[in-house]
Amino acid sequence: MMGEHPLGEPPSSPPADLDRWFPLVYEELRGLAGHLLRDKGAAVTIEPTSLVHEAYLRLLGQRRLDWHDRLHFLRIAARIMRRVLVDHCRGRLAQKRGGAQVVLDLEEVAAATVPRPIDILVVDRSLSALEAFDPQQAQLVELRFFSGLTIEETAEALGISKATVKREWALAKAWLARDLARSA
Amino acid sequence: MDATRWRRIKRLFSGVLELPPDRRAPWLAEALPDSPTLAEEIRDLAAAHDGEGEILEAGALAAAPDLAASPALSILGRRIGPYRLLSELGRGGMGAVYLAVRDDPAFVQRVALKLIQRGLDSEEIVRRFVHERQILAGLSHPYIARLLDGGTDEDGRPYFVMEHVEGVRITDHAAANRLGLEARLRLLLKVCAAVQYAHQNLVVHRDLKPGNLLVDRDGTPKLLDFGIAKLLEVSDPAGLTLPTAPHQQPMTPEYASPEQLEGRPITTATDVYGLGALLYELLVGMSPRGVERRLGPGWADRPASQAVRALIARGEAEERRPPDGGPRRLAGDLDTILSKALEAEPARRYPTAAALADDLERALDRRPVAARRPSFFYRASRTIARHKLATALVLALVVLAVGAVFSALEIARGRDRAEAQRNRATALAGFLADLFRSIDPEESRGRQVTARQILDHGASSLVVEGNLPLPAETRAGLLSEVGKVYASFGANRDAHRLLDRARSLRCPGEGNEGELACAEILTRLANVALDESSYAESRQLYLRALVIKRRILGAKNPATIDDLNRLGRVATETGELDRAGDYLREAGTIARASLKAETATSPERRIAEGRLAENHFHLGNLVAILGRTAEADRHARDAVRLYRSAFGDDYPETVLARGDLAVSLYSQGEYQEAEALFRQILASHRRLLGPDHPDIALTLANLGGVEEAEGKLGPAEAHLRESLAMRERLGNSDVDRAKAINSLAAILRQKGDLAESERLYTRALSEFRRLSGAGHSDVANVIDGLARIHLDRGDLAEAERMARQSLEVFERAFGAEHSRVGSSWSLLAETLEREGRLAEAEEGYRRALSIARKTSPKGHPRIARSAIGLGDVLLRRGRADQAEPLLVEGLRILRRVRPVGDERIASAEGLLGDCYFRLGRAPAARPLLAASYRVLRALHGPDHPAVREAEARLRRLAAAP
Repeated sequence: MMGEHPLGEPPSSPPADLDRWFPLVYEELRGLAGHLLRDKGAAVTIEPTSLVHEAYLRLLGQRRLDWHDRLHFLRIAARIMRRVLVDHCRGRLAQKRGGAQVVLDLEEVAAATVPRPIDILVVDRSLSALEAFDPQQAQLVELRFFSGLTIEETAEALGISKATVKREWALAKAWLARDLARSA
Repeated sequence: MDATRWRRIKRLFSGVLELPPDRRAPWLAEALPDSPTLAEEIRDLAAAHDGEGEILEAGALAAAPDLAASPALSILGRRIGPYRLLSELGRGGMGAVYLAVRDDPAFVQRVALKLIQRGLDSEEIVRRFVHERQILAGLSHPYIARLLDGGTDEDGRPYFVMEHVEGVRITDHAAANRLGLEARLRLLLKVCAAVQYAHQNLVVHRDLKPGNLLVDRDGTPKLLDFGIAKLLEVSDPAGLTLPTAPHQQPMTPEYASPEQLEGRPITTATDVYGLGALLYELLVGMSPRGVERRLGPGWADRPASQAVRALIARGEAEERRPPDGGPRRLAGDLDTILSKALEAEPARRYPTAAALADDLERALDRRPVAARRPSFFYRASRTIARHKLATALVLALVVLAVGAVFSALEIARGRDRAEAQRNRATALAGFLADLFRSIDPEESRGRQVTARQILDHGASSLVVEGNLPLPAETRAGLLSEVGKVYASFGANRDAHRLLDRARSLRCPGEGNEGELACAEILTRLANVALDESSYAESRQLYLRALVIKRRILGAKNPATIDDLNRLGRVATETGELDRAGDYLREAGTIARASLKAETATSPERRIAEGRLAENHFHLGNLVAILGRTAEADRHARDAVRLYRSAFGDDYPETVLARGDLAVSLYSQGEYQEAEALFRQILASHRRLLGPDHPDIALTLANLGGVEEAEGKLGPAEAHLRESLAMRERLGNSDVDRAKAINSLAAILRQKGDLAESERLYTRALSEFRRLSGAGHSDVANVIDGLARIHLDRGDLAEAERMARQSLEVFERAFGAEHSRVGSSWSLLAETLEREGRLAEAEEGYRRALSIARKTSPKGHPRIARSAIGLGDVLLRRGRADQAEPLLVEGLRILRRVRPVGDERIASAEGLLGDCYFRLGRAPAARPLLAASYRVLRALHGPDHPAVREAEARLRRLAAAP
């Protein structure tokens, strides 16, 4: 069955313009992420890769995406995942400000040894800073951190060697971790 | 960061990472001899990589564990149960509201679906929803948006489905349409009617605010979310809250009443405050708290008209557009009404939404409002109440007398009989004239005559033979009638005297008519005996009356229902529970059949409803004793519903049945709600029954009982003493009095007054033995209490002996699986633990806990007691891992039901802290042990053994590595 295409005729070649594809992929990822999280429950770790891959396959299957350059898609999807998650966290922040005060409880005290969650907004901020002087490393972070690609997939998506990915990823982690530690 | 510097960092970074941390600095100093800052930055980065870097490996999704609750992850288009979501309507602290349709082509209905966000205690909410759903779904009022459905989505998140209202907030509606003052008042009157309707159905809104009050295109207001706030109460994720927030309540602070903010009990007065706040905002253009923010603290307490003036003066009134001519027309009545509705003290507000509405209507009609002169209103209402009673009594006697005359004329055969009846009628007229004279102002010399005085006057002329020339049967009929009225005042000794006199005149009775009249007197005498807990006497009287009625009227006659109902009650009180069930089932069958036979408008219908209501009332008591709390709750609600339908809200029986509902809430561990309901009942009782009455004494004792359970020992003691003093004045010595003595003894024991407590227990014990028999569960209750005293004194052998004795009596009375049996096991286990017999104590607590789990709803305080006890024993036996979940569960329950600074909470915190310490979780142990020590020391001073123990635990923790 062929659905209405939201962007008119599907393009036959990979879109150069991220903004053009953004709404479609964004909706798909959002829906999928919500769906997966609902199915598995928040306690289960979800592989972001599976989200991205599944979004890709679904968009292909629905013929809403007529573009077979999987690597290009991965790059765009990673950017979009970042946006999805950042939006989510901004939404939470807004809610926290307006909503009821969080009540601390015993369990929280008892669970103090569990690593605290990462502040996605801090990551986003320091990633934006990184982007200014090392855009390639920033894209690598998007793929690894936001899209959850493996070292191999990241290497493939960026067209660089696995060793380079490892090296770059180690430094990027250090860069982000330092900002995270400062903001904690 | 410039790109060149970054490239230099990049070149060296992987090399640095491969080195152990202590060799990095020398290596970098060598590699970058002229750039120490760069070297330092690289070292910094390497340290960050080793530290926080690893958490980034897990990826962003894992790093945001609460993503599932994300509003950004759209759930639109999703299905929830049979509903498909269309769009988001709004979002609040509790969750989001969606526009949805039923996913059913045959049945297209747009609804509002409220999905409660993850993290709230879903299971508890669902349990309450199931409990309340019928009542909430039954709220059918043109100004209330109906609750249609509810359930859980596939994640177990609760959702509620409500009628979808397309409208705007009432305040926006008023501003947009520039409604005048009168139109705004009329709008709020409709809201008052809706709230009053819900209150009559025992539903309090608790979260009245403009956002919950929409006005549709036709100008009809609709209240949303009725009853939802209560379902969501106390539902923070873990159920454990910090002591500073003992009563987490879903409400909107902007519109919440002072009692909500302070965590005090919520009653219908809470909604009266909410209505007041709405009215304020409608008239001023801003909520009271909004005005305080704008104009400064204290402004909300000033007259609303002044606030409007000040806002106009500051040019801020236009924003929300209060009605034109506001301040002038607000000043006076409306100011007064607002300040009464917004009183901080619930008892000083309007008693009902209807009373607020009355005053608003008076203000609209420019009649004087009640709020204006409280002292006058108070006096006037008292006078009216008195006259009402007096008038009702006299009317009842007139009806009786006229009835007697009519039946006399009917029966009359021949002139002589007619003559005799005429004499009787004349004599009656004389009696009535005498009664009326006593309320004639000239006779009473302008004094206020109370109903009681009229009654006393009538009674004394009836009792003294020869005072009134009345035939014996007429005199007996009047004596019986007046005796019944005395009984309803709770003046049992006077009632008994009059009824006994009536019996001697009328029994055994000649012919069917005479026998039935005798049977009625016997029933009334039996009622008085039952009230006095003279069970053997009342049973015998009811049986005699029943035999007569059955022989003459047949076995299925409705006139037999009263006797069967109360025989059931007597059997319940004497512990013959099987027999009680038989009587009550038979009464119920006849009552239902007789109700079915009545048409909706028949005047007899009320009597039939009242009888069925009484049946539910007694059945509720019976199944409550059997530990079937859910069933008891249903019966109590049915009783309230039927009584209300038959006699309205302001009827003593209705109020009494609501008392059973409160008792049922109490036995389910819903202490706060039970307390609030008892307070309401007490207010109604006092209004209906005057200052002293057995029902008031009962409610006072029940209120004290709930307060005891909540750990509020001071008020509990005061209420029980008040109850006992009232019974002293009334001269009642029944089972309820003995129960009150028992409760007072329990409170004094907890306050440490062991000698006085023991004295009272001993007194209760002899009363119970006299009234209920030695094998009755009431007796076991007292023995339980005495065992605790011995335990407190350290007389362990005696405590154990008594605990075993009460256990045996309870088991014999109720079987092995009853909640009271579980409590006795707990007590016995505690004794054994103190004796150091830990294995036996563990076994005892396990039985107590297993019974508590089977017989009590989740989160019941009984579960807490045995869970903490078992946790304690396990801890002492070195099994901290098994103790931990039990202690957490128990503490969680205690924190919900007991006040801040409570000793039991402090003890449990000490145990859990010790448990964490033994499990090697010192950071979790520290705050618990510190809190426990602080509270216990404040309660007992530094030298109490419990305080020294708490201190020792803290020291151990400090000494640990």
